[in-house]
Amino acid sequence: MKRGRSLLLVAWVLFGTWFGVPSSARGETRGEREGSRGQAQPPAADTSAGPDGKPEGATASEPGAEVQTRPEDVPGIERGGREAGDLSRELAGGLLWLPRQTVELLFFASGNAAGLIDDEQVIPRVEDTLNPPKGEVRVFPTLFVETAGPLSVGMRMLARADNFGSTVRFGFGGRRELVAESRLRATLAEPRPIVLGIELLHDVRGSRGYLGVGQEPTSDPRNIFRTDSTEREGKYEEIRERFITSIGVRPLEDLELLLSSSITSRHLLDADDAEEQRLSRVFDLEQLPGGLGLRRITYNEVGLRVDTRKGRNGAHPGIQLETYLGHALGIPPTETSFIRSGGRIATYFEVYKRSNILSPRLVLDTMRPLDNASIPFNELTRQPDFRGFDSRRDFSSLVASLDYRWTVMRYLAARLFADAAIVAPDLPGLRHETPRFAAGSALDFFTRSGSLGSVTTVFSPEGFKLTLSFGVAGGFGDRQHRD
Amino acid sequence: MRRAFLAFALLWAGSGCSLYLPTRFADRPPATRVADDAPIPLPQHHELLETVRWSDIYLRRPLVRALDPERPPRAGDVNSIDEVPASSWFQPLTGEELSDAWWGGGPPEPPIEAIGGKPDVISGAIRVKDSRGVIYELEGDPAKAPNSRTSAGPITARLIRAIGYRTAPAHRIAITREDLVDGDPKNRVLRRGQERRVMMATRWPLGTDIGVTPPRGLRADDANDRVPHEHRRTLRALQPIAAWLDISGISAHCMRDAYVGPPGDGYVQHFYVRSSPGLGSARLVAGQPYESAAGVVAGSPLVNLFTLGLSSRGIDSKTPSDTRLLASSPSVESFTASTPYEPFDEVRPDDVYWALKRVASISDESLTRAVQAGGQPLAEQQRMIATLKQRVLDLAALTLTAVTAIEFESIDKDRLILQDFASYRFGDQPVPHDVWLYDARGHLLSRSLLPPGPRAALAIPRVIGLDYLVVRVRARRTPMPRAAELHLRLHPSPHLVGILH
Repeated sequence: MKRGRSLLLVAWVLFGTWFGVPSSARGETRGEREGSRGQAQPPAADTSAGPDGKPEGATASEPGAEVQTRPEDVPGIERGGREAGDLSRELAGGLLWLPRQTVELLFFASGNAAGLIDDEQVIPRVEDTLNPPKGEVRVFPTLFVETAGPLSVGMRMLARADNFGSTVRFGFGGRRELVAESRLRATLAEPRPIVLGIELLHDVRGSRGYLGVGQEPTSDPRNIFRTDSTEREGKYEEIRERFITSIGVRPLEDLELLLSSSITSRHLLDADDAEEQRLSRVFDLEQLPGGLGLRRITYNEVGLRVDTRKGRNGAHPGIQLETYLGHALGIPPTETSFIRSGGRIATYFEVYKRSNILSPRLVLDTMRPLDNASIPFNELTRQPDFRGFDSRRDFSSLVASLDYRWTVMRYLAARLFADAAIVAPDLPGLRHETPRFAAGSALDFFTRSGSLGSVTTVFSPEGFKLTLSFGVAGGFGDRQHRD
Repeated sequence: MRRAFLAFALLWAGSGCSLYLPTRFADRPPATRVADDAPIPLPQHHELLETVRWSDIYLRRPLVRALDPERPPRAGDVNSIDEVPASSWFQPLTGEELSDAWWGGGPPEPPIEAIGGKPDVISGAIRVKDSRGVIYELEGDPAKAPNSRTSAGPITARLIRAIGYRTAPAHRIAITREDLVDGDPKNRVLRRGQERRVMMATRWPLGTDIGVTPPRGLRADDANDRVPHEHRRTLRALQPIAAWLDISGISAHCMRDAYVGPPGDGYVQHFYVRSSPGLGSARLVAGQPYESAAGVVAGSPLVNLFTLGLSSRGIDSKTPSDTRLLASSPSVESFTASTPYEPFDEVRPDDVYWALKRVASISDESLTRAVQAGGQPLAEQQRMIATLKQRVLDLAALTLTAVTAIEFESIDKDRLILQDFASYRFGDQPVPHDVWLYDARGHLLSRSLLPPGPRAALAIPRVIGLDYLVVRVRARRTPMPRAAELHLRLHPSPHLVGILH
């Protein structure tokens, strides 16, 4: 009795499950479902009367009979054949299976979201949010090579569903050069485009350089070099962790308002293998603001950007204005408090043809301590917009650039550029310094809708630099993402 | 010992390389319709993510291809007699049904209203809604090539539909201010001061648009999608079809999926949607400035590079001397698609041959009516028809270098009647054919020669114990094409069970 009741229960559950699942899950086709009202059809291959009225069971050689078949049964093959030479191809194919699968795994890919990849806060325009690609989880490789720098290879995984996108990035450039980063973004198109973001970063940079402050650090009296050192560049290792939350809104078509907060932890260590170039061997650490050790700083920033260009790739005429104000505060025991402010102005105008764009640009950054607090040396303003060697730090910075960009062909553009950069202890001091110069050229590669990579060569009195990047955004982004 | 083993391995590999084992077909009728219309939930929208697509087709694809020495597999949507059965991908129509599919609800009915939004089918098109609420995408001609895209689009859409592909219906229309809601005050369809404009109206979506047909793999949330797309003949064969119609811009963006039916009770149909670059119309504006992600592209790449983009070429490029459709098109043989498309990597001679047969199946009447839809003068229509017919012959000549175009006609008692397709359909000079008969295990039974002729008969041997017969036929042409195979079951009476080309 008990057993009978159990069987009845199982049968009822199975029956209920069968009718509960969608017909596609049951493997039922439209013809079967509609046909089931009148007649049942065999599951694999069925032969029904054709328009000419031929009876069921017509053979292959009898034309006119309609035979409906499941997709997997269409070929009608019992056993696959083999042509002469196939065996050796299969053998070679088997040997190459592992490298082939490695490539497939590396690339099982095609997914991108500009805001997730660019190191910059960008709010999509309304039309870009209408048809967001979604439901994709993809991986693609990244490569960054720079002369006199470590080769960095890695991969970036992207996922996107509805209004959410996320990315995880890993990069590896040697024993003490690695980065891991995760970002999550939510985008709302209505009533106005809004982007919310959360980011986590962990990286280790084994050989960072510090020349001291000022445009000419070796002669700047603020730098206290050790008397027993002949070196003038100190090396240190930095282990960094960063958490950023951000919100951006585009209230008007060309206007973006950006708010962001971050907590950054930096652990600075002497670069042990730098020998005489160790930071502690070059500088008097007692006199070096912040010195080595662990520091935690919060930073909040508000930014406003007006960008009348149709796109951000430099190919469209327009004006770009940007200003920001940020406040940094040390988390005890880190004692620091300072304000960052600045902006940039750039114009992009056509030269002779629509495909040629000339763009002069001015970028001003400045910072001031609050309450006479000390600013750690590695928080001082740097010059990531300067495409030469970004080795100067101070309280104020001005970078002037002139870019000439022309489209060579579909997917390829070329650039010539020249930069001048000055740092100084204060804004008036910028007028008294002699700028450093750099000039170079670049080839930018594009996809149908965005940037793919670039090759950049830069010449400056300090040396030559060749940079190759693929699958990562070039340059640096906003203040939150710098350094 | 080690040397002996090595020698044995080499001997085995060497002998194994030449082993021939015929395919064995099941003894059942060929599929004529695929049951891939089971109700499924509404799938997710799928668009190609360009950055990764490009790394995919220009990095992953060549690497994987270089590491894969095996031949592309036979297409998975082909039945036992080497035909593509009707399915959500392919729906051959003739007569009135074909005319209805071409019409597809007709052109937009005034008043027409621009509704904005990103077009699905044609980049840069204008989305409009007509008085019935039907949505269309409108595309005009480039300023320097009038009557190019608006003419080529409707013709191409009709010809591809006549081949059997589902297409987004396209119509050439003339729009005036009176046709537009409130006279188009914002000049979204007509330019300021313009009172009339000839445009192509593409009806889309036909159902719920769910994005681009993935160029490889499957649509994961479509339970009816069982054959990886790169293994579909319907997609592979677009290459020879594009060569015939000179669609240089054919790419993954030309195919889109639509969910047909109410949510939960519909299924996915696959459409060829981008027809305006057909008949060489995309080449007529080659050299004209156009927008790309890299910026406005104009002039020659090398000249641009070395003159820093300051060359005057490309500013006011001259239109090609002959702007007629198909007039500047390359030959069928030298056609190449402008961007790689994964299914084209897998194209096999039998796929090309199938495409040829489908193209050749278009009747003269259908061809004429399709060309009429382009709205060109009569003389121009006649020239286009003649050119398209000549390109079919070119495609046939190309195909015959790779395939033995032999077709099954019937079995008359113990005689297998075969047709030489090229001779039968195009009146080519018949050629003799070598014939080999094999059993199911690939053992050679006999060898003979079929005399040249549009039709030929071959005696079917009746040997005790022989149930499965493979008739391998190869045309004596130069270069030597691959052999075709006809597979017969001999009991209870000889009948065809499979064909391989």
